[in-house]
Amino acid sequence: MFKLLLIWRYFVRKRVALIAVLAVTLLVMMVLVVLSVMSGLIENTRSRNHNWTGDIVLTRHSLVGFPYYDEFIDRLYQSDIIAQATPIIKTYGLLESDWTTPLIGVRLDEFMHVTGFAECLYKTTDENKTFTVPDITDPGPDTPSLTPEQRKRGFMRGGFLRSSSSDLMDSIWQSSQLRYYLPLPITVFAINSRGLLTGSQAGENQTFWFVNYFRTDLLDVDDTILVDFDELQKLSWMDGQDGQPPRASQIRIKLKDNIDLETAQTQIAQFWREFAQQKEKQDHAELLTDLTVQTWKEYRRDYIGPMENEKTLMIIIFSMIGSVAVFVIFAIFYMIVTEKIKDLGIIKSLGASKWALAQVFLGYGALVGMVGSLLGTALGCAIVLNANKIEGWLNQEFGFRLWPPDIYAIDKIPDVVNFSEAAIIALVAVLASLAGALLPARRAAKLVVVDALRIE
Amino acid sequence: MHKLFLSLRYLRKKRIVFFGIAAVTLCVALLIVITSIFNGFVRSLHDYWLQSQGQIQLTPRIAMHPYEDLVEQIENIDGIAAARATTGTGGLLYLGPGDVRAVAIVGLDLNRNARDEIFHKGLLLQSVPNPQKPVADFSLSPEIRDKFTAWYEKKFRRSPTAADMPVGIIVGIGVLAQPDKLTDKYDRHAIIEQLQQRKEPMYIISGKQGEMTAQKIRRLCWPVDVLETGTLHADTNLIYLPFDYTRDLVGNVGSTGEKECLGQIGIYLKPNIKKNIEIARIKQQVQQTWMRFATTRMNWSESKAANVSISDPMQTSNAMMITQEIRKQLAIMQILVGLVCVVAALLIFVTLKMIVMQRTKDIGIIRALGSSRVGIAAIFLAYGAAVGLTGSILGLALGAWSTRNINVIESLITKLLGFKIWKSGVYFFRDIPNEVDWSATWWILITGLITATLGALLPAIHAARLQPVDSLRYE
Repeated sequence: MFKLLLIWRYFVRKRVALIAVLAVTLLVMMVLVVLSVMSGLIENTRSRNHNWTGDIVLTRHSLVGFPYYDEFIDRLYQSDIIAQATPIIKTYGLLESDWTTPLIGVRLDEFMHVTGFAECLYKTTDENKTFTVPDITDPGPDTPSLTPEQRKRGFMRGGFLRSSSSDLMDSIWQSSQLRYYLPLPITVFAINSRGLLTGSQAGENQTFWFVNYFRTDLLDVDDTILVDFDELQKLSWMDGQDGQPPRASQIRIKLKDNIDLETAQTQIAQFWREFAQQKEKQDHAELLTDLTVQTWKEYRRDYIGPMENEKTLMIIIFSMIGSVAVFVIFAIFYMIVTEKIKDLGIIKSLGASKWALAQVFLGYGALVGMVGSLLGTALGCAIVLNANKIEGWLNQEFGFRLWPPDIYAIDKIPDVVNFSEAAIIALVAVLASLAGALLPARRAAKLVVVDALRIE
Repeated sequence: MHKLFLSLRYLRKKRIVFFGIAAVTLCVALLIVITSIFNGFVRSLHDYWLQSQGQIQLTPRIAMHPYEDLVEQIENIDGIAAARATTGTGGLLYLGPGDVRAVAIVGLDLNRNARDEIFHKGLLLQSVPNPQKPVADFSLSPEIRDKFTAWYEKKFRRSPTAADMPVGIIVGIGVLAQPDKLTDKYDRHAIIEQLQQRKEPMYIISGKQGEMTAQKIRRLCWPVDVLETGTLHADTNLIYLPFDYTRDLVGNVGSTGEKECLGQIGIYLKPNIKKNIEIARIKQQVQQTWMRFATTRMNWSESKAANVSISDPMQTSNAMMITQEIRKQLAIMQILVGLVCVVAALLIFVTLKMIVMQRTKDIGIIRALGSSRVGIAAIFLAYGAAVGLTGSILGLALGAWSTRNINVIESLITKLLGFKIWKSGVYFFRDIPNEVDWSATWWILITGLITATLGALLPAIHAARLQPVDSLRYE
């Protein structure tokens, strides 16, 4: 009983203990805020990448691509884990005459089922979710009319500016120049199944028309131009006009709900091996051997990984800093032991055990740690949950833009606290406090009664 | 005298004080490393922009031919170290079966660029100083000519004429290969070998400048060298061609009967020119030189010649915005580390408080011997300052050392953790900036010193207010 009493008395009476509490509070708060914001950013990055990629990707790295993709997609549908699969063509294009960009050919309907691409479009009405160049309601004198063939060749351009206001975007959109008649000549290399130049050998050229903007907030993707799968296949001579089987570069797959990602990956890889074996005797079976089957996490690892690494680095830096707090507690407790050496001697002479004295200080350390972590967690949560209000206030009062939306890919500071992470941080803080109390507790325990009570 | 003696004694005898010193050291070192890296990053960006664009950039908005003559005239201006004309366009590069890359084509005059550091150090084959060949060039070696002839004869069943010969190009290293996933380093040997084993030319397709109808041009080319600059954009996007060749490739025949193209001239000032007023004067002279050149040499009307931009690439809003944003992130990091300084101050406070309480009797004796209250306070303040000073100096040493060796430390961390923190794919540059920002160190040192002294302030006051009689009496 006396232990609890002593712990409580020391805690209430010794103002210096408040300093220890303050140190713990500060550090817990700081770690919580930084980690929450970083976790939020990572979560956001992951979901953006997942949204763009779909669940599973079959890729052949070479621009040659691989044949028999439709047959394999049919095979996939026979299993009961696939919700949707769609082929994709990836290549590079020369636009107008002087800028180059990655080109992606998709079957838009299927693609929007496999991925979250529909949410990335600027105009989201049904008539804008297609590559068909729309009819002009009010054709001006200079507007050329498009043939039905030409009208199939719409393109979508990535990366409309986040910072531009919706009014500005609308006015850009409405300027008929951009809306209907922005013809874009696109040139690509035509490559045959052996990877050699084919067609005119000097690049194939076709004009496309603007239909919509999209924004995925992935730097590399927002650089690209999306066109219809069949049109790009035809343009790059992958559609079999040279008598070889048609080819695609990727198959993207959406799994049915509650199918485990990794299991599905193994299963699909197995399907593919069997499929490639069946096709062994057919033309260009060599193109089927070096495909990779990746989950979206693996496929986009280069883009997700760096952020996760940064978080690990932060944790390392903060654990270094946390050691300072341990020293603070150590110094304070050491001081208290020194100061109260006589009290401790009396208690011991009254029959308290070594362990009991150690317990007083360990308990004290734990109490300091707990109060500090509680306060720190509360403060940290308050800051994180109101991060955007605080940022808005800073902006309003001082004109200081902490989080300019056009620099960071998301326009809000992540304001979600991961409570399991918060609990771990608090636990570590309590343990650190205990560690700081350890040596003073040992000193108190080893006290020799006679020494302690002697008058100096 | 006794003050100094006591301060030093306490410092030596009380081992607990080392924690205070360690905390200050940690804060100062962290601040120095973080500030140096962030400012070094800004400097790397600036250097890169400077290197690729010059302090002053002259961009005619109308296509022209005689860039070489213009460059010569500009170089005659006092205070200008060098001027370089570049032109460029986008293109697709076909490297071999199934391998096509989107690239930016840069046309440059190697006779001028070979003097610049990047081309000296970054070239894989020609960087070795060769007495016979003082500057790097685009010329095809006899082996390449033989290999090309063999390829050409096999394909077209006739010998290539001089006009059929491919153009020699220098390729950014990331266009040819991918860096190692873990170490982020390119395998230079494999790339050189790949270059020497090459038996076929590459193809470039591009378009004429300024034409909406993508009128395509296809040319054969052969990589004669590979350039590694350590900068993401340059390494993964750029291929370099001779300036004349590029001008003929992308330009159109103008009224003079010669190929005319759009380009820009990067102007590099002599290192002793730093003041804005001098730069402005040189800018004006460049403007005058340009007008004279356009109106006399090219017979342009004055209004036509006025279609020119003479700008300072560093002052573009984009460059300013990026710099500002990095500075802001630095400020946030500094505030975070500053909070740690507060904890360090707490630590010193606690330590001193403890010493004051333990040494109450000493203080009583000193006071009884006639020392003033201020004298007592001075002992503890000096003590705090000593802790701050020692911590700051150690922190400076540690911080400077860590910054200098940050790339080594990072590669150790890579080995330890199994992943690389600094990747050129994320941070644009291959190497972490490792130059200590000495201009920022003085205020970091002062921060360390003040932190420690502030921590000592309350205990010092406390000690000064002790009554000698109280502290000397038996309890």
